[in-house]
Amino acid sequence: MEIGYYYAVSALLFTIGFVGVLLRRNAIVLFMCIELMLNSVNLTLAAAARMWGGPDGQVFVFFVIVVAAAEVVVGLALIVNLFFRRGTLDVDVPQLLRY
Amino acid sequence: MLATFLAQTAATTPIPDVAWSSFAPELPPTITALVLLLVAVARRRQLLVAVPTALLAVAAGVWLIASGETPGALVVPGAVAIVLGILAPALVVATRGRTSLLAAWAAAASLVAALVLTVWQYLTVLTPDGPTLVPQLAMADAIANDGIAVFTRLVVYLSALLVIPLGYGYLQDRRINRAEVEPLLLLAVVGMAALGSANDLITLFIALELLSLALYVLAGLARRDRRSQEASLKYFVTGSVASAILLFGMALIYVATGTVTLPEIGAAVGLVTTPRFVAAIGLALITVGIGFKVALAPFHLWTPDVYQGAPTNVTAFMAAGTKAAGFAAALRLYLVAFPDLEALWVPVLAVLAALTMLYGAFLAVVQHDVKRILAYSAISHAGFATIGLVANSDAGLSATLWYLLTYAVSTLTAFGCVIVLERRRRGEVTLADLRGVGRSAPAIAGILAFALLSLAGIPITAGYVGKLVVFEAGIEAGFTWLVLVGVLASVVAAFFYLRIAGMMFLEDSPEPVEGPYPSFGLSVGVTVSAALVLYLGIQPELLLRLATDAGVLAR
Amino acid sequence: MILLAAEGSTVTNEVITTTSGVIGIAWLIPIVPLLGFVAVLLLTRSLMDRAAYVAIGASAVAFLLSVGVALQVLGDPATYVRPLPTWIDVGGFTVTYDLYIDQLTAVMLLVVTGVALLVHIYSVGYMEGDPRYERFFAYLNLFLASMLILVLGANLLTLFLGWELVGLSSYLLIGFWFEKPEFASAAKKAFITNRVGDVSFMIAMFLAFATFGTLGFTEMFAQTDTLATTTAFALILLLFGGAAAKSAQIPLYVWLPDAMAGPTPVSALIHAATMVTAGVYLAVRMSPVLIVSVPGMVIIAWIGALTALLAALIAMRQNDIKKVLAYSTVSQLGYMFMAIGVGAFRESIFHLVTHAFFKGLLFLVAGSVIHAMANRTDIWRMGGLRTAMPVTFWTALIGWLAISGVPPFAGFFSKDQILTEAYLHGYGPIWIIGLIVAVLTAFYMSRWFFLIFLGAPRFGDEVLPHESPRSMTVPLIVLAVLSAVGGLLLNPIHDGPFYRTLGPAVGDITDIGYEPFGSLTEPVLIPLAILAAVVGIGVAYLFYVRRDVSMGELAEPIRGPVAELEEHAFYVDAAYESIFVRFGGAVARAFAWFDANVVDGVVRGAGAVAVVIGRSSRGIQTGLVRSYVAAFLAGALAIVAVVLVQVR
Repeated sequence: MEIGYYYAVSALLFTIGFVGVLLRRNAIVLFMCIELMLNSVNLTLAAAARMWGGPDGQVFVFFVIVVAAAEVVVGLALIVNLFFRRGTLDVDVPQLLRY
Repeated sequence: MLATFLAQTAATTPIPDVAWSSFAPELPPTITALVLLLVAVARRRQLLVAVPTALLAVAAGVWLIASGETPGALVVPGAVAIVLGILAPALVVATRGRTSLLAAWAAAASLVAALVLTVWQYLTVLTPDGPTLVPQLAMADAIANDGIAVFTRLVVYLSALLVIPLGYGYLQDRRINRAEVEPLLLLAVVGMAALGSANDLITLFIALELLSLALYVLAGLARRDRRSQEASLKYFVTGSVASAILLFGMALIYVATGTVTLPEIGAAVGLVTTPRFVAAIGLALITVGIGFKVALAPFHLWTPDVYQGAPTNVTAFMAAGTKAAGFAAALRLYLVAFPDLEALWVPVLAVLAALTMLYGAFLAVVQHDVKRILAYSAISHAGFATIGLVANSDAGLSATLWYLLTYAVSTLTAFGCVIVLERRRRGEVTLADLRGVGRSAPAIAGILAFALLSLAGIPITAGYVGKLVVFEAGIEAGFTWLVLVGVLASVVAAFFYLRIAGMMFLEDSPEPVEGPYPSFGLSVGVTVSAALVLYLGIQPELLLRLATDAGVLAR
Repeated sequence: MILLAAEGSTVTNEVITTTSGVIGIAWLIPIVPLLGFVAVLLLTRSLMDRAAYVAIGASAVAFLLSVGVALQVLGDPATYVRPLPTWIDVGGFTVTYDLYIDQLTAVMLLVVTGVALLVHIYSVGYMEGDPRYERFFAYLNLFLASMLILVLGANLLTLFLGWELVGLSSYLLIGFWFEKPEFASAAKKAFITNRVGDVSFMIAMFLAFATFGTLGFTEMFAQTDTLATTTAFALILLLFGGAAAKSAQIPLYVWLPDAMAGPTPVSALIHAATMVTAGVYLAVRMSPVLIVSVPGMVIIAWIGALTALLAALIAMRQNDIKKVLAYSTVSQLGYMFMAIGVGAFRESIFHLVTHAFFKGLLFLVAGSVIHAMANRTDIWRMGGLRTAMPVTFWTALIGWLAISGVPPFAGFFSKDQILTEAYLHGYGPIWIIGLIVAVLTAFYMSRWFFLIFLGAPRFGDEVLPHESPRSMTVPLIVLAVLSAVGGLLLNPIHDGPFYRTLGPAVGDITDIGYEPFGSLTEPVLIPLAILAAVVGIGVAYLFYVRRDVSMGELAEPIRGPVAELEEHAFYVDAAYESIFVRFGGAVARAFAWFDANVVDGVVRGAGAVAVVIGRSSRGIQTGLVRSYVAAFLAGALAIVAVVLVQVR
């Protein structure tokens, strides 16, 4: 298959993720959208690794997966704590820090 | 006995092809961080962790000394390992029962070790024959050991070392002196140091994430404080999105060039066969990601919120360390990987720098919270540092590195004073709270005023020399307009720095104020960093030479 | 007519690098007061009242060293460079802490340390009983050290270092009584105007470095032959921008009168003798560059002349004992810049020296009077202090005659020589303005003097004026003696000893080829200057001594009904009143209004603009994390767009 399709799909996924971050207020969903963005990059990297025939892209993918996992750990911990403090997952609840 | 055994083993065992020396400074903080976590888990049986670790460290030190290719080549790292090994149980005994004190001392010791190794690296690895720096690549070209790397290490380790005494008493006051503080701090600083020497996109990304993840947690350290929580969440969300964008940019660069190593990217970008279109978008997205890390407008919006909400010692560390590391990475990226696209990124960054300087300066004028003012000042300073990057020359590179050092010491001093005042106020410090401090605490007010003068760029301070050098590089590169914007921004900035000083010295507090309670650590930290501000302002020779030498890239 | 360009290197001094003699230890001159500052600050508790003696001792040492340096320089005239360690060294940009010592430096050193020493001694009496007595002396020492760094620096950057430090320590001193409410606005005004000047100075340094490749004086002056006139013109204006802020010239003069909120010894030291003359020093120090572009100098001359005139007009209507002196200082500084502009560098420095004597004296007199009058400052509430304060009266008399330009007092010589030079160099209009200012100066200073010391007392019974303690009168007497004979001794005739000494150190203007304005010669010009002083004093005498001023401010002739004037039938008086005081008063009021509304407005406005910009754009910072991400998107799209447009 034409390699451009992979890139198109991954760009689409990235955009969906980004738009999700912009539009959704639920912290968990927002977080999922970020993961979507990271994984769309993985797709790009894997496709490009295939195109160039070298190991670099695939190695990169593995590292990104690991980093994403670490991010999940940290992110979920933050969100859970946030829920205990505020009783809501809405990231737009009245803010203390602004202007 | 043991030594000879180890020496024999070392002589017979093939040395793995790992250039230890290229990341020797990172080892003590990393190992200390892991050991501290173990110690925290071991609770009252700390010696169970400390003694084996100590033995391992001593053994490693002996092995290192014995295994040097030429006799004595690795004496310094070996000695450092042995000293750390002896220190480990000693610290456990000395601070028996008080885990956080132990952790603070251990972290400080490891950072001192890191600094010693950095200096050793500068003296031996990088300057084997004479003062010129010979860039060295290691670990399959993933790490570049050059001026930028060494200088960044110097700045971030120094910052972290100063932050530990600044934060110790403060964290106890707020009852957030948890066991994970020091390990996370050490991991973040390792990430920063690695960012300064990352020579390929993968290393760069991992280093960035290492420091970011640690800082997300540190920003939210005060779990009961809603501000801290909010800061942490905002930092996390914006930071993750920025990382994703940066990553996408990196992926596009890989798509365009087929390599992740920066010098190879630099070579490939210039080729006719490379799709400039893709590379250009990648470059743009990378600029967004880097812009987030160093807080360039318009990617800076998180900065005031996070700086205000995070515990003050963490804020100080973020301001001093992250900025230095972020700029180190940016310098290497733009100057090594994208020299052929300079027509694209130089004007973009120049505009961003101008925006950033003005935005930070103007918005700081209308703030009331001192930490928030310093946050806006941090934004403004990112713009100033960018001038050196935009200059796109060796002089500019040195200027930016030097500027980051001066900014780090100045901002650490300022935040240190804020911590002292916060201890007194038991909460956040607004401008109104500063009234009468000049009377009730002349020493701390004087030091804070001095730090602010440095941030404003008034002579005899480090900040002045920093601005001077950056402006000089900008003028030389033909960016006169940008320098003029910088001068304008520094004039506006002088307003709010003066406002803080004026509040302290010219207004009286409505109610009598208690004196501040600087702890021993705070006094030492603030005094040392203020002394550094003065020293770098009056005799910048030595370190300025180092920064000038650092203008050698592993291209 | 004047030629538009000059040629030839102008500093005829030989440059000698030396570490021998007193010059070898000249670095101690700023260091000793600096140590005094640190010592007093650190040891405040254990020193108690003896802090003053530490500070006085430090300034005395600085003075003695300065005398030693001056003797060495004058004994073997040359430009001495005392090498010291490097400050900054990046690439081709090297700046050292070297000292630059020539005749000009020697003169400045003596003036600065001499006046500072006297002010230190005076302050012992004046500041007695102040709760922060020791700290005041610490600040004085810091100021002295900064000023000495400014004077001694061998390059523009070191000079700038002193320049900023001087500004800093002067805030500490102006704001010493920060309980006073008017201080806050005074400090703000001073800070903003000086920042404007600093920016100009900084840009000038960049330009100088770009042009000469160095900021060192000797290196720069060696290249003035090849300096393009346009570059020189820009450089002059930028440098003058810096000098105008520090030395209170139009339009940046506004901060100086407000700075009178500080203690009076500070006004004497900073706002008369030393700091405000830093701009004059800078301009004269850079005279080899100045003379490359005569149009630039003409601008300086005009701004100086107009400042002198404007400030003199305003001073005529001031009622605060220190405000009169403040505007007078602005006016006299304008005189100095006028001199620089017409190419009379030596005359400018000479006037700087005599002005330091008599204006320092007059400020100290004012301090003594305020001290005696229980902190009252309105001259309409004084009068008749002649008998109560004999020493103050006699010294004030000398100061008044000196500033009015009455021979043989110091001010006469310096002022007359500036006017003569302006005439001989062909600047007719400026010469006429100078004469008018001389008349006005004599007038308002006489008014000041008469209202304070002559006539009947106009203060209530609750004030019992008394002579000040000896620590205050001794400095008065010393300065009075200097004001009386300083001019006569230093430079009684043109090309006197002072000028011959200073000549080789400053730019030489003989090459420019000035031609006199008219055919008058010195025997005619000198009596004209004397006449100006006499007229001013005479009119003031008619108004404020012959007239009944017991009604206080209401008696001010300009406000009195015209009928009353005619009744008195002072025809001369009436004529002067209409063409001179009434007109002058109107102008003064206009400018006072301008100062209070427009200039202040601009200064406040500059702050307000920053606040408005800040307020209006802080809305961006919504605190909502998703809007921050949206900013990423916007920024990213913008950058991608820009980059793609360029790739095409």
